[in-house]
This record gives sequence, structure tokens and C-alpha cells, in this order.
Amino acid sequence: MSRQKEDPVFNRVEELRLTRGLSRQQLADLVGVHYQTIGYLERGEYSPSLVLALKIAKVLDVEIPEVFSIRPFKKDK
Amino acid sequence: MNPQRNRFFWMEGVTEREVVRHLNDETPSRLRTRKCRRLLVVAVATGALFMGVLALVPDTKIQSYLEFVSIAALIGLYLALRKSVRLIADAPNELLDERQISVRDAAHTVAYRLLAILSVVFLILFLIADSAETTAVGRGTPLLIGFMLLAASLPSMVLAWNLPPED
Repeated sequence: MSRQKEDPVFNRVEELRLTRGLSRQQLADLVGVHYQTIGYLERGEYSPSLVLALKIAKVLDVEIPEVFSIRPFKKDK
Repeated sequence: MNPQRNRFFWMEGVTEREVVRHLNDETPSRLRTRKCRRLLVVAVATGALFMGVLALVPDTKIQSYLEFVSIAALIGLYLALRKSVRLIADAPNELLDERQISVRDAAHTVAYRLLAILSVVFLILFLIADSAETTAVGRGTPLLIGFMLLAASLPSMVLAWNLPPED
């Protein structure tokens, strides 16, 4: 409830998920979390653990810095 | 989850099936709006306070009925509160993901601190109420039941107050 307020983690999960044609439920099933957790994550309301971040990067077939960053992503990326 | 199996988690007081059902329920529910969640929190707190006030008043038949109604209402509110947070506050680790475990544990920490304070308040009220005993059952008993219900509800209350609105 508090970690993300102190250290925001920006992500491109929604953008990458949509380009791969995955629904929240599908991505959630692939990484083993509840579908709502993907929603919280995409809205920046939850910062994932390293394990979950690694799983998401693997499923989306990208490196972690391409999905998660402590600085906002540039819009053209 | 094995559909044939429905484990009961004794420590949490929930069954595997009911937790999974609530977690995966995609039907929009008024109970899960922020306004309703917070109203439930206020209602439970008010109910518990009402029980405390009732216990301090000299015994009458009407007051006994009011205590019974209050306990029934508190139980109903407790069940609604649990539903409003999808039973996350009472679910075991193995049925939750890391975010759910994180928010549940944060809620339990706050609830534990609140419980420590409330225990002192209720102990004082209980001693005052019980010393004015005029019935065989004792005036402090409904107060104690109310406190136990409040204590059981606290993690869900904290969670209900803090959770953001659902999608």
C-alpha cells in the first residue's frame, strides 16, 4: 500500500501487452497473478516484485528496462 | 483449484472455494465501490460504539433486544465488509498473489495497532459495565461480543478504507 507512493515505478506493460494482443486476464494467467493486479500495475498503483517483473518481461519477450523504469518513458518509445 | 476439493482454512475461517469465487467475481458490485466500502467501515465502527454505549446503560428488556439486534447487525455488516474486499483480509497466502498479500499484510499491521488501542478502551468499558452487573449474564458480555466482532472486522475495515475503487 505504501511502496509505490515512495518510489514510483513507471512501466509500459499496457502498451506492450496490447501490441502482443493479450488481454489482462491472459497476461495475468501467464505470469501467475490475479487479473486485477495487472490493472493496478498498468495504472502505476502497484510496483511489482523483481520476480514478477522478470516474468512479465519474459512473457512480453523484452528486457526489463524496456518495460519498467524509475523514470517516465518517453512517449515515442 | 481442484473442483472436487474445498479446503477449509481453520486459521483464516474461510474455504478455498469461497475465496476463489470472490477473487474471480467479475460481476460489478455496489459493495466494492469506495463509497460503499467506507460506509460499511463507518457502520461497523458505529455499531461497535453503539454496543459500548448500550452496555453502560442499566439493564432493561428493551435494551436486551437492542443488544441482540446490534449483534445481528454487526454480524451482517461483518459479512458484507468481507465481501466488499473480496475476502482478501481473511485469505491465506496460497490463494493470493503478491499484490494481494502485500495489501492484506499492510492492512493487518494497521489493524493490529488499532486493536492494541481499542483493547485498552474496551477493557475499561468492560470493567465499568461488568461492575454494574444486574443480571446473571452480566452487562459486559454483549460489549465483549461487540468487541470481538470489531476485532475480527478490523483488517477488512482497514482494507476497505484504503483500497482504491475497482476497474
